[in-house]
Amino acid sequence: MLLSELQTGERGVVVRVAGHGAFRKRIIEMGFIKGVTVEAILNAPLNDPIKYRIMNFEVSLRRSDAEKVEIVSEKEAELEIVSHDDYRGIDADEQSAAQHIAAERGKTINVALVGNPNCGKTSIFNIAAHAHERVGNYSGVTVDEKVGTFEHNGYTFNLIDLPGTYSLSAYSPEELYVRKHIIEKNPDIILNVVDGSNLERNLYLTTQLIDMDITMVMALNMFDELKRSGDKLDIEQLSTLLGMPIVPTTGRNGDGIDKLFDTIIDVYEERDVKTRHIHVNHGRELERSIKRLRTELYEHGFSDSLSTRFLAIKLLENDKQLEQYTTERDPDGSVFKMRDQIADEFFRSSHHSIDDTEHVQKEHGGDHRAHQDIESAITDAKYAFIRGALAECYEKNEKSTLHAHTDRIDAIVTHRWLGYPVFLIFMFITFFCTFAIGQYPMDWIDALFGWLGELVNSNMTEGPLRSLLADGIIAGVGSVIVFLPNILILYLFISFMEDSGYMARAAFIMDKLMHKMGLHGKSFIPMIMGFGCNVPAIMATRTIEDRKSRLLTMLVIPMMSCSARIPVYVILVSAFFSKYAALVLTGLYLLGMIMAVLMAKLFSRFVVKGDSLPFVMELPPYRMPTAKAVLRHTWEKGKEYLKKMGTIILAASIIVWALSYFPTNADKKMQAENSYMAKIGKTIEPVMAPCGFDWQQSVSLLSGVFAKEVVASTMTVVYATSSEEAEELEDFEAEENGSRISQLIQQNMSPLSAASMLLFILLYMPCLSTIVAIKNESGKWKWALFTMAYTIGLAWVVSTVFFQLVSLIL
Amino acid sequence: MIQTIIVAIILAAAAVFVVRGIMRTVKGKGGCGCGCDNCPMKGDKGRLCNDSFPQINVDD
Ligand SMILES: Nc1nc2c(ncn2[C@@H]2O[C@H](COP(=O)(O)OP(=O)(O)O)[C@@H](O)[C@H]2O)c(=O)[nH]1
Ligand SMILES: [Mg+2]
Repeated sequence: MLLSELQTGERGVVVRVAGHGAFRKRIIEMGFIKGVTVEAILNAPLNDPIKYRIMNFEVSLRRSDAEKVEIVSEKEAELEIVSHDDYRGIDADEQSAAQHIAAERGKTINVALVGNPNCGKTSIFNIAAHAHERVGNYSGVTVDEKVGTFEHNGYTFNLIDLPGTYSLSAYSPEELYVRKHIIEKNPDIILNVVDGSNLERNLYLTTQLIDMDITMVMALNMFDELKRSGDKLDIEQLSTLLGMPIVPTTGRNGDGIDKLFDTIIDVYEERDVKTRHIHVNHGRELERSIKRLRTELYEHGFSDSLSTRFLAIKLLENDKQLEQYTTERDPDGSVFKMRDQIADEFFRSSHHSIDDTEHVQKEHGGDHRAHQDIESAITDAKYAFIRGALAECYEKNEKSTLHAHTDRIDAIVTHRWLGYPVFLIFMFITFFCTFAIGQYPMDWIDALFGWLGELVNSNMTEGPLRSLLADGIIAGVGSVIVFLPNILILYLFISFMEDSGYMARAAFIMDKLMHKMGLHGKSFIPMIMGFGCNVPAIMATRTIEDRKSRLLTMLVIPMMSCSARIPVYVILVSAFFSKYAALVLTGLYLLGMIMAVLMAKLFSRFVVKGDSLPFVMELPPYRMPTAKAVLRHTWEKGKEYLKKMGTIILAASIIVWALSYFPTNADKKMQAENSYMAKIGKTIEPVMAPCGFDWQQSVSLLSGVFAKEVVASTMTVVYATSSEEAEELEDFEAEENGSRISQLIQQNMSPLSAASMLLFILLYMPCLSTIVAIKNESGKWKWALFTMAYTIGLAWVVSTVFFQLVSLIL
Repeated sequence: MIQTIIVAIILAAAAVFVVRGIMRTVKGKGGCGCGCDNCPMKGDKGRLCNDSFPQINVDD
């Protein structure tokens, strides 16, 4: 519990003092040290400050300060001892019990991982916490926080993996999020992960963290690359200059991670000699400005939760969020007056020529320019500090060939024209392998299910249960499960492209195109994620700060062909176009992307108005993905797919079977034509007829609303129960022409209608979950319903036009 | 006859499952339907999934 909650007369033992810098020091100097017993002398609800007795003298603490001290009260300790077997051996004496529990709790260290995108935070997190989080070689992979708990040398660590950020300004949701976490959650230690092969840029964030005056440890990650590059770095020296311990690590194989956590324990226990508070020197002029504003802040009582130095610097940088924070505490605005005055003076003194100043003032009213000026001066000063520090301890190997291969590959892959065909070729290869290699295991699984079906048919007596098992469950689930190998292969490729860094290039070459179409460059990452599943993709749009772009992206993500559509594509393609499979699949995916972009253009004209922000895409160096990471990701996907088979697909198959089996009729043909399914199908058939679909196709599409794979299972079940030849299916087994499902489809569908159906599946309404995701993320049903309506409309128009035109030509 | 009874039981179970699934999904609890428990993207957790990330509704 918190010290502020300790009631009058109660006693407790200090576990830890949160907060930072001068503030924390003050509290500790008052005697609030780990393991010390405190007694509340007077703590009334409206009483501020609160009076405590500590080490036999009285101190008073503001309520807000007392909230920063974690304690174990003796009462709490007593309860805990009674309820916990672990504490049986301990003396029943209250005081020693509280001491004991406080000592135990004091051994829990909260550590937050902070660093640039792609510096290896998640890799370190995974190794330390034995977790299986996703790493990826492009920025924006971690957007939420994840907590891992583990033991190390008798201490319990709560490690938090935060999203990557380049700075702590208030420009992007990630930056705000990380900052908020540090300020509000008060982790004991900030673990600043730094990409050792890109020191200068990574240290910029470090300098901002130093401004916040928090306890830090640096992991100098990518140490393997640093060594290979031949650069020389004096780690001792850098560590002294920055006032924090630095531990070289390699997140890829775990080198240095143990040492890293040993160091964190030392820092936490205040045994580390390197830790000291430094100020990043911004130069005389700026430092004077910061000091003046800081004094003003002190006078207004801004000294509790946020370092005043940090606040002063951020206010000079016009940080919108912290301006709001300041306004709440200083309603008369004297801090802002001072700030503006300082900015103005700074501007004048740095533009000595009077002409220049007057000219600018006439144009912009001076103010805006003055603020921009001081903001960039602060950034420059930070970089100057970094360069100064690096000059003393770092020697770059100019002949380094470390990322030479990256430059060579990028010359082709991100080339202005070549980039696009290369992207297409990669897509083509992906689908070719997905289809061609997947064919073999697919046939085995298909044969297995064929055999199962026969087993049921030959061993059970005729009746509804036999039909349910054979024509419903085995045929339905079987028709989708056969695509497991295809899905695995596809994910293997996607994982590889993501982890190696190619995906970032794909986003880069698409950026220009996207921009022209009214989409944000950052939209491409959620869109690519849409190839896996649309739902996370829609959630990933949270990284797009601009509202209009975010909404636009959400609306068009359903055009990105998710993996659930693959089974349906493969069924139809292997039945009719197996010679051109990869080409057809690539074409479909491309069409989806083109449609997404076209729709975005259209919507940005007529539906969603506003303007979009520019965005800089970072291109990380290429890195060979570790086999472990790729395989694990692929396996996770496989597991999910199988699970879906056992749940949604199974239930859907059963229901679809029932609807096609009942009402029963002695005449097989009559039964199929009069079943509930046929009735539903025939009702919507007239609407779908222009697209070239019969009633079976129509109901299949309808059932796909729950999950797109269901289209495949429904189609199989409906054709299996309604087709006259269903009984003779086994006879086809011997023929060389494709699987049983392919044959079933071939007998019932024309190639043209199949092609039209492919288009329809690609474009028509996303599954229910996606619709709900759009509703949740946009905040309104309106947009979810709009997405449903426009996707169905678009699919219908495209399929109809295609079907009618081609029918005319043929 | 036995077959009919078993089929009826299976059908009822499937119907309950589907209806419950739809309700959960509409309430936003069902995940993405990719077969995982409550997290919309279990295998993709590393990327994004919880509400701790600021959810900024675009249209409020
Ligand atoms: N060579 C090398 N690669 C690393 C190291 N740590 C991480 N990586 C790779 O860097 C990329 C980004 O890692 P990730 O942990 O996702 O970074 P995050 O964005 O900071 O969470 C991945 O491709 C990792 O395999 C390291 O120490 N050395
Ligand atoms: Mg990460």
